[in-house]
Parts: sequence; structure tokens; C-alpha cells
Amino acid sequence: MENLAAHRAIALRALLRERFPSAHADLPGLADLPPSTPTTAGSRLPVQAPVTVAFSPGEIQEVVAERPGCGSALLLGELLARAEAGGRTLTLVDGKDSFDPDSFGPSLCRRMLWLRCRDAEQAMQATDLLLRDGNLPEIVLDLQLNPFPEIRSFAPNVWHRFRALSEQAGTGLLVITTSPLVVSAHRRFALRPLAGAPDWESTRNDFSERLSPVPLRQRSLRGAMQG
Amino acid sequence: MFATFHLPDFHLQAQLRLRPEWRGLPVALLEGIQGGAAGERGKSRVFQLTREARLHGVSPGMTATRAQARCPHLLLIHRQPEDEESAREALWDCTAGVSRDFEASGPGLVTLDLHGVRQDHRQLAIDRIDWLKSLGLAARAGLAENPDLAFLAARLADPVLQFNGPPGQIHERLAPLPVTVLQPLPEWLGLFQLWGIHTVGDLGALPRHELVERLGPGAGRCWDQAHGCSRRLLRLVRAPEVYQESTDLEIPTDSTEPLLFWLRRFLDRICARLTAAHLAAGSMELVLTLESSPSHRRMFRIPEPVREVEILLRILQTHLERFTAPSPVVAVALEAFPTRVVSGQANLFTRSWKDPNRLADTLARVEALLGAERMGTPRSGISHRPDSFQMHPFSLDAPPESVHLPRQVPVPGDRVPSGPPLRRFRPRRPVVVKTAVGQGCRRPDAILSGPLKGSLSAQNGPWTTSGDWWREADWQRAEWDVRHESGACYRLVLEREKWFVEGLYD
Repeated sequence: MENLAAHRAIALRALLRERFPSAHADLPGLADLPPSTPTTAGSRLPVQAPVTVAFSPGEIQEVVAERPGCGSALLLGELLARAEAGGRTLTLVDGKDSFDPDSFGPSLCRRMLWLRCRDAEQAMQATDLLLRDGNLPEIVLDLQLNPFPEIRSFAPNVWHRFRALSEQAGTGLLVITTSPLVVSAHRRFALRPLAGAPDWESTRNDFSERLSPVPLRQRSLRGAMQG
Repeated sequence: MFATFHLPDFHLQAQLRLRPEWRGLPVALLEGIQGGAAGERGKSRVFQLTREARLHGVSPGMTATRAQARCPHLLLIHRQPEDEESAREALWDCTAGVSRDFEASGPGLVTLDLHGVRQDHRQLAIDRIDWLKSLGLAARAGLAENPDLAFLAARLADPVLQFNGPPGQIHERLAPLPVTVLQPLPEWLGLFQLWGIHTVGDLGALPRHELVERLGPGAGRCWDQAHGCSRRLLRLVRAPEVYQESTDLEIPTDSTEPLLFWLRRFLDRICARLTAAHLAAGSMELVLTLESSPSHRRMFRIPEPVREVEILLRILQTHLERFTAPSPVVAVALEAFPTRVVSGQANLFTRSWKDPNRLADTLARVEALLGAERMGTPRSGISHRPDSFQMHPFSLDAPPESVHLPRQVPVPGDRVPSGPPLRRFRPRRPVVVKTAVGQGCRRPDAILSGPLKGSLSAQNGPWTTSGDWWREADWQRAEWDVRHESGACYRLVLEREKWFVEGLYD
């Protein structure tokens, strides 16, 4: 039965690829992959190394960290470092008030705007306000520690509205969740648990190098509009 | 078109309007200000007087003694500068409501430039005269194509006179007026007497060229006035602007709508004044007087000075929406602090916010949603106690993006963090921990309670820290970095004999 379902899924994807080629223009075809290319269990999409998660103006990206310790805070530190290096302001909408400034140091935090929300509803409201404003170029909505039923309760049209606002204002929005949730995401990445046991003496860069985001969805604007 | 508003016997009117009990009495205003020597009072001359005093034979220029001889019940008063100032303000307020371009032509005399005023000028003059009448001031208004002619029209008006028509026709109407209305130099008056010139018509009959040859260019201006063809610019008055409005509410209110209604009206007026002065509001102060509590004062800084009512009102509205007054509001006041409008080329290497005012408003809304202490930029605190950062307000002065190479500016107190970053549980989670002896001390072996129940391995610690020992709220703690059986790493803390999970390494 499982094989039959898998075959049907593959056939459906092939059909979709033929029907909507532009929606799959950014991804290499499955047939083009070398046999040794690893694939993620859930997505069957190829891992393209090196993959970096970065803000893209006017796009929503979702980073799924299914298990604790996958490095979502580490990724946040990377984004903070890039924003600081580029002289940009990063806005963190912290859904569970879990950000630890001591873990990143004053230099990475000096330009950030940190919103310490009590629950996911506050976080969504704050994000909505910021997206409508359109002044802040990079926003991270961190729902990593929020209970999944709480964030699942939001209607899908909320995410579509976020996407429309994001595209309108040219704001890059990155949502960190524990399970795929953002139906309107332009891109979706999964974070896998960091390989190896934690070495407390390692530098932050050593940890960052072990961060391995896996693309799950990569939908171009053009493809999304046509599809 | 120009309009002149004239308050006849201005100095006397200024006092009579504040003292209604004097109405109908013979009153004479003496020259000079009250406080002169008592013996000189009798020598003071009558300056202005009421119609009742005239009926008793009193006339301007009489000494006080002589005037009292004519009218024993004559009330002699002196000028009161405060009353005159009050009347002047009323007159200026009246005219400034019509046009900001006006000239204070003399005491009780204001000339306005009505170019650009689309309202019917005659009706407008009547409305203003009625308004002044409600303030106890009797006024006349003259309308004409030039300021001097409007002034002469005001002298003849009852209460409004508009001069239209060709100069010859106007001269005919001005001809019966005494020549003194043209305000000739005092030394000319004797000369005019010798020449037999008593009226405007007499002066206008003289040849202009010869008059100027004998008396100078000033006489030419008098001749032009007599023919209604003088041209001059107004010496505009600019009253010191106060960008403040306030009102006492008839009914104390505890809702936002009445306050917003008044604030919009305030902003309409304030922004009109700012626009006229080519200024913008750099900050605003809102004062709400409460019925039984201290006044609520709030200063608003405008990130990008503006004079748009909607933008300023939105800032106030955002604040009022999250403001809870302990008692009803009985009065509201708003003051704008003006600044020059910044206009200049933006820096090539920095980008400014798209709309700083909108961002400030959005941040105020977010602050209302979360609370002021839960939004901003974290900065290191003065204590070494973990999680003792301070939240600072987000600075709008910092541009959102700088297009330049990465900077390597050292930050005071910065250190390179090692190890994975922590996600803090706020508040930290109390747990029951089973400990076991190992490496010379008791180490956490398992968590026995809560959702994180499970065995622990790879303990790293203890890291002991303490501080604030000179205070009652001193602290002392021991930290362990532990690996949970689920594979996740947590920070365990032992403080005052109690265990807590402080966060998750992520």
C-alpha cells in the first residue's frame, strides 16, 4: 500500500511538473539528480549544499525545526550577525519570550528590535502591525517554543495576508516553527538536529558550520502566480 | 481688495467694554496714564469722550477742570494699558481669522489684505463687526482697492462702506471730509489754514506737481489719498505665535471620542499656524486635567517633523487608545513645539526609514499591545546575574540600513560567545532532580517531574556564580549543562536548594 501511495505521489508530482513547469523552474528535476544525492525523508526533494537561509525582500520563508536542539537559535544568531554586518535592523517577534541576549553578545543585539510576546496570538498581532507598517526590512517570527496547537489554530488566510503584506512592503519575513505551518511560504526549510554531541568549548562558528537547513519548498514568485 | 476695521475712540472703548455700569454716563478719558500727580489732574486734557459727555458740551482738548465745569457729573478716567491690550488682542484675533496679512495702522485700526479671501467681502466685514460687537467693541469697516482708501472708507462707514468706481467719483465722496483725515504733517496744518484748505476736496483741487514742489513727496501721498489712488504695501504684523490650544470640557469625559474631537480641532488651528509660519511640529505635549487625580502629561517626539493634522492626530489617538485615566477628564490642552522643516538631500550611503512617523506610530501600537518593558533593544545590565539585561527604547535615529562595508567597531562589554545559544524559559521551570555522586560532587542524574522527565547524561558543570552579596536580594547559583535522554541539551540551575530548567540549548 505504501509503495502504491508513493508511486501515485511521484506520478502526481510529475504531472504537476509537466502542467506547471514554471513553478518548478528553480528546482532540478528528480531525474537530473545524481544517485548519491541525499533526500529528506519527508519531502523527497534534493538537498542542495551549501544551503543558507537568508532574508529575501517581499518573501515569506518558513524554517521548520521539528525537534529541540535543531539550531533555530543558532540560525537566529546567524541572521543577527548578517544584519549587523550589513548595518541592517533585524526585528525579532519572539513568540514565547525565549531569546537570550547573553548568548549573542551586545554587538549583535545593538541594532535589533526585540518584541517579547507572551503567546502566539500577541506575536501574530505584532507581526501584522509591523508588516502593515512596512518600514522594517527584516522580521523574524519565532514560534519555536509556542505549543503547536496554539499556532495551528490560526486560519490559513492569516498567512496569506502576511504574504500579501510582505510582498506589498518588500519586507522579508522568516517564520520559525516546529512543523510546516505557513501555507503561503515562498520557501520552506527544515533544520535537522546538529550532528554529534555538543562540545561546550566549541566556538559559535563551529556550531554554525554544523547547521544544515534542508529546502522543502522553493516557490518562485512567478511560479506561485502562475500556479 | 483691502479692508480697514476701525474702533472709534479705541482707548475709551477698551475701558467701557469691561465696565458695563458706565454705559449711558458722561465719561471722558484724560490724556496720560493713571498715576500722575494729583495736582496735575485738573490740567489734564480730555482725550476721548462718550456721546453723553458731548451732549453736555464737553469736547476733546478741554482741560479736566473745564470739562467738569461743563458737566458736573462727568466721570473722568485715565487710560488703562491692560484694558487697551485686551481690546487690541480681540481686534487682532478678529482680523487674523480672516487673513493673516494685516497691518496695525494705529490704535483701534487694522487694515487687512483680502486678496485670496473668497468670501463675500461686505458680508465678511459685517460678520466681523458683529463678532466685535459681541465682545463689547463698536467697529466700522471700510473696503477699497487700496489700504489708504479703505482707511478713509472706514472713517466714513456706518458700519460698512465699500468704495467702488472711478477715482473721480471716489474723490467726490471724499471731498467733504476734513483734511486732517489724510494725516498731514503737523507743520502743514497751519499752512493749509493760511491757504484756506480745510477739506479733502480743497487739497485735491491743488495741482499735485506744485504741491510736491512746495511741501515735498509726503504731500504727494496726501494728494494721492485724496484722489483715492495711493499705492503702498502693508506693514504686516506678525503676532508672536503660540502653538497651544486648550479647553475645559463642559461634561467630564472618560471616553476617547470627545477628546479626539477636541484634539482634531486643536490640531487644525495649530497646523494652520505652523503652515503659515513655514514650520513643523517637532514635538507635542498633551495635558489631560483629571477630575480627582494629578494631570496626565505626555510629551510626544515627532521623528520627522510634520504639520499634517492626520499624522499628528494618529500619534495622539494611539496614545489615548491605551491610556486609562483614573478619573474623568475635565480639561484638555495641547501644545506643539515648532521646528524648521528638514529638507535636504539624503545621505548617499545610508537609507532612511520609509516613513519614520508611521514607524513611530506602529511601535507605539506594538508597545500598547505588549507593554513598554517588552519591546526595544536589549543592552547588558550592570549585574553579572544571568538574564539581567535591560530593555532600551528602540532608536529611530539609527537608519534601517547602511550601504557600506561591514564595520568592526568594538562594543564595550562585548565578548565572543561560545557554545550553542540558549533559548530561555521565562519563567524558568521548577523541576525535581535526582542527583548522583560523581567526580567529587553531586551531579544531576535525572529529572523526576514535569514534561521534561527523563534521565540525564553528559553533565557539564557545576558553574557557580554569585553576586549582590551586599544586598538582601543576593544570589548564588550553580549551573549544569545536561543532555536529556531525548537528545536535547538543557541548562539546569540549582539556586537556594531548588532546581530549575532555565533553558534549552538550540
